[in-house]
Amino acid sequence: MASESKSSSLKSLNIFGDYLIMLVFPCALSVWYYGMPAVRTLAVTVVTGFICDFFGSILVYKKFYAADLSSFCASIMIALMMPAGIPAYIPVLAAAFSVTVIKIPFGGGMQAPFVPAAAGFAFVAVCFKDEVFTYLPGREYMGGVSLGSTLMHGGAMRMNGSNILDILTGNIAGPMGTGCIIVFAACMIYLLVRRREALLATAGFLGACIIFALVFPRSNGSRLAGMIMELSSGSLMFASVFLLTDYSALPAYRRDKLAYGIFCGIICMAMRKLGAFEEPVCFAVLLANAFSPLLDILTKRIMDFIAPRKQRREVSSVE
Amino acid sequence: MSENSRGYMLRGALLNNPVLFQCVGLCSIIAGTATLKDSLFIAVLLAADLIITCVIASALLKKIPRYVRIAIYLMIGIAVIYPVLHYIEEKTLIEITLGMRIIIPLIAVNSVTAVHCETFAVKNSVKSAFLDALAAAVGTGAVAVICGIIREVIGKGTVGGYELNMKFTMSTMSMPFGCLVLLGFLAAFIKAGVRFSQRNPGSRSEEDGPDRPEEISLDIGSDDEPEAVEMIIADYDDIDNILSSTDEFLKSLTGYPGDVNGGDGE
Amino acid sequence: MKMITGLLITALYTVFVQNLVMTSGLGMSEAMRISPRPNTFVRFAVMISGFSTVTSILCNLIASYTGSVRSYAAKALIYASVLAAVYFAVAFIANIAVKDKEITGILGIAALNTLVFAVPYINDSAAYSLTDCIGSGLGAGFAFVLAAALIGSGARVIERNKHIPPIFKGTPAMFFYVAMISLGFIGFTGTQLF
Repeated sequence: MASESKSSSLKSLNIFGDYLIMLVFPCALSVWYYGMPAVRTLAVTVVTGFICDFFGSILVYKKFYAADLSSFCASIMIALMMPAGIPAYIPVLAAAFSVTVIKIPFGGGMQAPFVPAAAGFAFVAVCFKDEVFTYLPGREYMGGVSLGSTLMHGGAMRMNGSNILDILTGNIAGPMGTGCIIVFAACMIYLLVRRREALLATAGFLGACIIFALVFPRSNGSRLAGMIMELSSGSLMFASVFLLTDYSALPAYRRDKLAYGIFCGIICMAMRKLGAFEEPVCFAVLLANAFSPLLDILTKRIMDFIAPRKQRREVSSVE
Repeated sequence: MSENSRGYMLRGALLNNPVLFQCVGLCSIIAGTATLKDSLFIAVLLAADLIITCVIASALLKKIPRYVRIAIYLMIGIAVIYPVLHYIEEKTLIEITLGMRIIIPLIAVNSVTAVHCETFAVKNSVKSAFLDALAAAVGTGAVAVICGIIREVIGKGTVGGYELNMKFTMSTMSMPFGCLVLLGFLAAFIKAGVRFSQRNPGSRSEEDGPDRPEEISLDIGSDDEPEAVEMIIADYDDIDNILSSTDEFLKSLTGYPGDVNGGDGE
Repeated sequence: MKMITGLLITALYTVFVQNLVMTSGLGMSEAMRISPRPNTFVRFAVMISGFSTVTSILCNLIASYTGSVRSYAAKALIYASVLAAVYFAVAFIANIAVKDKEITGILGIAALNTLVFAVPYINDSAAYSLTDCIGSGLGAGFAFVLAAALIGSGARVIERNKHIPPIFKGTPAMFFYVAMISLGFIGFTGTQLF
């Protein structure tokens, strides 16, 4: 019992420790671009997550599991997906929701069937739609209108060197910590070293988003420009690295991870095209979590259908 | 009311709460309790429909084939609801929203009535059926009113239509999702209360019988009331298979009732 | 061709975008209760779609002949009568003609639930044409089964999770799980049906 608990704690530290390391860079960039509002949002969210986790754990489990860093991770992710100048009560509610409704009732960060950060963000996005999707200007920004809003209205952006550099460095209006593509590329390399298979979900997700953006563009410019805008708008890249790779919600098998990512990508892009929110990736992640057990069954049936044929070919080639 | 009837009522309304533990009547609660006024409406109409239908089912419908009985419940429900709705529209005394004008008629096909009639009322006496329906109505009504108050306060910043001058409101509470979260917390709260009272030796009297610290008893009634029978059905056929007993349904979901070695997190 | 496209779009909309079970709670009790029995899903889908579609068509035809009925009390009476009549007819024939008792057993639940009864109201409030009514009716059954499948898979996930605290085991965890699915579907509409 004690050794099981110890190994579980180590595993939890390992996994969430990786996320905390990766999250340092988006946090640093958000503070660089937005200054004190970013610091305040981050601090308030993290403190709320910790307090809710601490008191909730004491109340329900009669003890606090310090090794379970999932509440810290979820709180930071929620804060990074928020606009910098957002009123403090909104990220507070989001963090409280993610801990009290997703983490604690389901037995901790390693067992939650839904991504806590996605649930918390989705909750406040519905409650406070205007506040969550209104962005402060950063140090220098492009026009004060986010890429997501531009796409919603069918706008386009010229793909010149300056704009591309802004996209790569996150120098665009949007959530305070989800803009810098370079950082997310670095995080993907980190995951490639530490948790390679989790990137299957990321690959499936981005692949589906790219194809959807090329086939059903929202922008009235070129398809390629539209695709780049889609990938760099809102929290899409951030979600592909941090939300889709969440340990507890990710399926176990490789084929299921890929299917999960593809499904999430299709739903996300469909919601962007048809839905009511500028950034619906968190809702798509929740639906993908809900459909994940059904996707497991579907992929297994497909593989069972394909595999017998493979075996027959192998047998006949041996003969 | 006798001591056993009080226990019967308590169990029927609380431990066997139709909404929280039997998962019936969810549509009316989820869609119809966005405000206190609406939830009071729903509670009263549900209670009327449930009690009248269960009493009639017990008194008159025992010999009727099951497939006919189910439809009769709908007709009784509409017979209860139509005059109320007609009166409201004629007199315009009570203002009800457009959404409620759709939700109220749905009470005629609510699953609380169907489940309680089919699993209990048609197999027991009129008195037992009335008590069971009353307990279920009290339980459902209490959940409706609590949901209505909380959802209106948090979702709209008012209570009974009176402004509370809140700094912000959360519109998700007015949505089905918000109600489901609330129901989850209510059910957890009741379970926590029951576990606490079972663990606390001072709260149990000697007449309560043997201590079962980790299990919530689902038996309704006792040997002293010969007319009362258990909610758990012994013989299954098709409709009983679907409208199955509380115990079987809940066990098919998870380890409720009562898992002695409950999880303790990491 | 245009009619069929419109019908399919309405059906798909009812199943995925505005899933009536998840976004409005219609038929949620029945979805939760049948979710542990996936072998009944196909039957339920067919029956609920059938009853919803037939009731929708009849209510739409009645409305077109009698003129739009404004009173909600009168609408309740008409829709309930139509639904009861359709159910009686089908149940009577099923009990005579069909030997499989399971089918006749679940007919009542499939016909007389809040989802089927609400479909004519939704069609009326959305001012659907006859084709759209058919699409809406067809979509209702599959929306129900999709919801039941999601809830059932969630129940199995919860059952396998040994770390859920005792006070959240059972229906509390189930309600939270279903709430999250409902929140996910809100991403399409941003609001609720009524």
